[in-house]
Amino acid sequence: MKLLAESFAKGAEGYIKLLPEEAEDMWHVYNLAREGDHITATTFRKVQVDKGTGADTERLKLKLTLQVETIEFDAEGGVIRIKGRNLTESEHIKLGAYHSLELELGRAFTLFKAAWDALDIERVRQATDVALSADLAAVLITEGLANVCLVGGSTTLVRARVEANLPRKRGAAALGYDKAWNRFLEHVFNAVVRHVDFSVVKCLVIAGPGFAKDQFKDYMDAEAVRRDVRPLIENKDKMMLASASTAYKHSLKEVLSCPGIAARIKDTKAAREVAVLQDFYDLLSTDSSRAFYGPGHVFAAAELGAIQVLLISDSLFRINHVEKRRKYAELVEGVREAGGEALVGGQPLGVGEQDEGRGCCWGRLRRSFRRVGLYFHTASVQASSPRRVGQRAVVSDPHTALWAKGCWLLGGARLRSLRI
Amino acid sequence: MGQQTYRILSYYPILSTIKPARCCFSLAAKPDPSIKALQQPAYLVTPHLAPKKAPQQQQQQQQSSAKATAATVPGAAPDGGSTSSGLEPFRFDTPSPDDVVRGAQERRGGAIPLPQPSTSAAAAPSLSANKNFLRPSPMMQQQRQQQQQTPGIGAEAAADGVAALSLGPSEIAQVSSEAGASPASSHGAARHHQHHHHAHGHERAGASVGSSGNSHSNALEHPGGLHGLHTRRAVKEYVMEADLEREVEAAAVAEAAASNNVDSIPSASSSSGVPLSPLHLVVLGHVDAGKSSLMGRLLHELGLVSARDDHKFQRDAAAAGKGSFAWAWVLDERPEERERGVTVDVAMTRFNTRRFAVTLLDAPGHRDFVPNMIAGAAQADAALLLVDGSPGGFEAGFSEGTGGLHGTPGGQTREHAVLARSLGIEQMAVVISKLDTVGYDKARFDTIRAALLPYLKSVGFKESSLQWLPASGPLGENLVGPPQDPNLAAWWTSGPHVVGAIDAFNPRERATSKPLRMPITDVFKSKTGAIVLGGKVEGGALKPGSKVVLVPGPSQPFSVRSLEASGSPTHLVRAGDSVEVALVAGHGGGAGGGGAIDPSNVAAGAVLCHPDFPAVLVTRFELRVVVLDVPVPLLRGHVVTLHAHVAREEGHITALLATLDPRTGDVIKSRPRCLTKGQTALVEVTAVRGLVLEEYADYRALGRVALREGGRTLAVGIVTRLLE
Repeated sequence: MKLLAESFAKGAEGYIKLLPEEAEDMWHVYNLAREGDHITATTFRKVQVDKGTGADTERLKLKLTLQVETIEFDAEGGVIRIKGRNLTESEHIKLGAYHSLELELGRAFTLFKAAWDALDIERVRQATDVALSADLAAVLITEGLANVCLVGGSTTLVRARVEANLPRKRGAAALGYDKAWNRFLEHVFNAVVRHVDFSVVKCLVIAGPGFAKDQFKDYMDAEAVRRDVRPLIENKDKMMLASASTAYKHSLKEVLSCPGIAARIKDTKAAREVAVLQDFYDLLSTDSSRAFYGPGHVFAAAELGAIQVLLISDSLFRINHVEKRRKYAELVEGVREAGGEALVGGQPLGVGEQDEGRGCCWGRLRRSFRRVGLYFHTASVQASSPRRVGQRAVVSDPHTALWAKGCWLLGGARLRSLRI
Repeated sequence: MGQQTYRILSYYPILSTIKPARCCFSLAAKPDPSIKALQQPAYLVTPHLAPKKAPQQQQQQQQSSAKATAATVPGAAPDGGSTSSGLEPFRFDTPSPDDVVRGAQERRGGAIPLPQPSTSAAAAPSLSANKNFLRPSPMMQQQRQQQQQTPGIGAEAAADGVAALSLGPSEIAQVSSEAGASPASSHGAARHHQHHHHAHGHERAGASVGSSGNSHSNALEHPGGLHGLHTRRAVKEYVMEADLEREVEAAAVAEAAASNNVDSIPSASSSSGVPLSPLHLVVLGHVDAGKSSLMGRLLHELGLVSARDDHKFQRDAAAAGKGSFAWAWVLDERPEERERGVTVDVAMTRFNTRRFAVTLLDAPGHRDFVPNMIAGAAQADAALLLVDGSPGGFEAGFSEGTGGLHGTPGGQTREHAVLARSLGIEQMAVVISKLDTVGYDKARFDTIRAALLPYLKSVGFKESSLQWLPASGPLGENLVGPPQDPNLAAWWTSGPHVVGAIDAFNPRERATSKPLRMPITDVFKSKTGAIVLGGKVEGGALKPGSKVVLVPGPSQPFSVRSLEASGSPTHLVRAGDSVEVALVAGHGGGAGGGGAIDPSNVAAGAVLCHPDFPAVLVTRFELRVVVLDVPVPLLRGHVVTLHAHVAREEGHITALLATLDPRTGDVIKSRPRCLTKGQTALVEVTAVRGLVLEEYADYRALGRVALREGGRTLAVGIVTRLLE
């Protein structure tokens, strides 16, 4: 993504002008733009033109600013559709009238926000950093299902999903199997040709359970020669096979963690996330008092500055709820200020696009907070606990009391007196 | 024009565009019970203090509260003192006020926990709200009353579900007694909530008052067409069409007579035209245990493989340098299966024994193809578990997985056994093969049996329903007759051979009294151009001319043109039969004809249903699971692959509702943070796209789900509630 102009400061209003260049950029834009923002971009509108001989409609190119009301992301098409009210004075469209915009690759737009928070700024920096770009493509394939994914510097996108219903191997349908199978392979092949750009991608991994991946590899090699698809022929050495238990997107995690591939993508965010997640799971089975999970616990731990590594899914930030978003943004900032590491993403976790605002967060506590962790775990603190740890705390509920005791153990500075 | 409509929309308050559901609910569920819950400790709230509800509901609550106190739920006792005396008497497994508030908020925000028709306590208000649209006929009402008087059906089924998850008898007793006391709340999940935290019970009742309005609007959306989850008619209202019922009864009588006949005259041949009971038999075992070879040889011994094919396989296999795989080639037809010597997909073939028309499902043993094995085992009534008896072979198949994220999953003997049990297979014959490598040593046979039996018992098989026998596929020992090899014949004198063991299985009872359900495993176009669907009928019956509807699929019903069972045309199929159904468009001729659906659009996992009692696609549902060998604890948000009957889908765990006591079914801890190996728990799962599921109490075959991830089976369970 190219940054054409910027004028903003943290916490204040301001704008940026961006030019998206790859599919991954659209994902960033989707995460940046929210309800209430103003977006300026070119669009087309049909207007009635009176030419004297009767009314005629004409398609006019307009530059409009909209106040965003809904945002839709089409990952396969790489398009974001925005609906909102017009803020530009124009003879063709009234102020406050509804209009829709499509943000596409290669078309610049301006985004205005009333308040830029740290996460937005981080995302802009990330998106405009040239060093971080898509570099791994993966085809997850099994009989009847294939997903073509691009693992980028900061995100993972499913570019194509191919499904086919293959007849079983016995009976009258056995003959149809080969035909259906070849058609399926052809669809997957076309998807690869369309979505994988070898000038960007460092390697193409073909993964899945069983032998479908081998068959696809053979098919692809043969078909590339037959159809003379130069990029595939020239980049044969960039292709590799890996094993995965299913062809669903969440199996990408297995692909990314297998040693040969992990080395190739070690700089990407996805790889880092997979590593953190594995670390978290290991911690959960070895030293569970340091593995924190769920908003209640994570917030409580963050308040104490106890979090060493935080992994939080970005779907939590796509909610159109200012207060909640601010809360999560503060959480991430707080962790960083306290010297911890915070990763916003959670793509390999699979909790992603589908359910907005229902993501998860994980935290790894510093070693010294282990004892406190034990208290938290037994106390089962929930997000809605009265968490005000001021100078004094009067606690009557035993759950909270235990929680408070945990804080108290940590150091009297935060909680001078505790009455239970 | 366009502008104007937009403008009208724009006056719609922005606030309500954010979360209309939430707004509507906060208005509806007054007075806000969460406030009440805050003011008083949740566990102290009794129904008498609750705001007035509809009398019916209050009555139910009193009933359930009475039961709760009678059952001495943990948390009921120490409540009184907890506020004054501080920490000591507190028990962590009681819900804190926070839990209650949070639970209440979530439930309201989610806006979904709509009542279940006819099962949950909240059914009554929603039904009355829907009265205008779905007025129960006098007959239906009568039936409902009958059900209330004799709640045995539901209780029995529920009890069975419990047993399937290897739970003890005390729970069964509890369920049935409770069902007797208040038939409306025979539902497992509802019961837990009501028992354990009254405040939850309140909130549930409150929410259901609010949600009745919601389901009302649901009914408006589908006034008569395809039914939604909450508007469809309950399965129990089904009465079979009279003509179909006559035929089904006649067939049942004929079958009973035939099986008596077989018992009395042992030489009754299968070709004499006597209808044999169907038996779906799945062959399980670790990769390379010799499943396909054994079955290939068995088919040969039974005379189902022509000498020409036989010779061809021998020659080709030898030419390919895989002489030992020749028998497996009978079943493994695909080139890649033959090339690699590994079964990939379930091969289905049929043969007759003295008692049964066996549909043989040869499952793949390789770790990567467990999903295919699940699809096969989901249709089976009984299983043959092949165990490699060669030195080291058994140990490889029976190895335990190692923990940690990078640990290796265990052997497939283990995984297959536990999956088979969780998919409803109760009877199994364990065939120990390749004993020729140890000279048919009896000690080896006994060692394996001694090692395997405790494990099989621990996953829920009864010792009485297990058979043990040695056999060899390639050598043809002990397949259809007593062993020839002197070493084996010396000690295996009275035990059964493979076919004998198959005959010793019990046929499964046919669930013909329920509306039709048939999960589709195979779709193709017949030579005449009709769409043919293959699968096993799990409920109800079909005859040519019956109307059926495909879920998911077009809303117009199809009618059955012809039926084929066991490869030959038939005039009637009943639950338990494996059939091929040729369909034509329901409205007779004209539009579309047989080509109304494109075979490539019907995915395996679709279900053929009775048009008046269709199944529904669900995306969110509640499961009661047993957590198996998980490398790491299960958390909320865990992404899994869901396997149910022949369908599979991506999904994730959206909530961990409670951990349960495996014996009594009581809630040990509500909203646990994570689930570890061996726990029994209630979880809520969301699928990315819809799955056709039914509650386990209604259809067992459609109510079982396995959760897998990364090549391991994480948990298996039964569907206790459909939510969305």
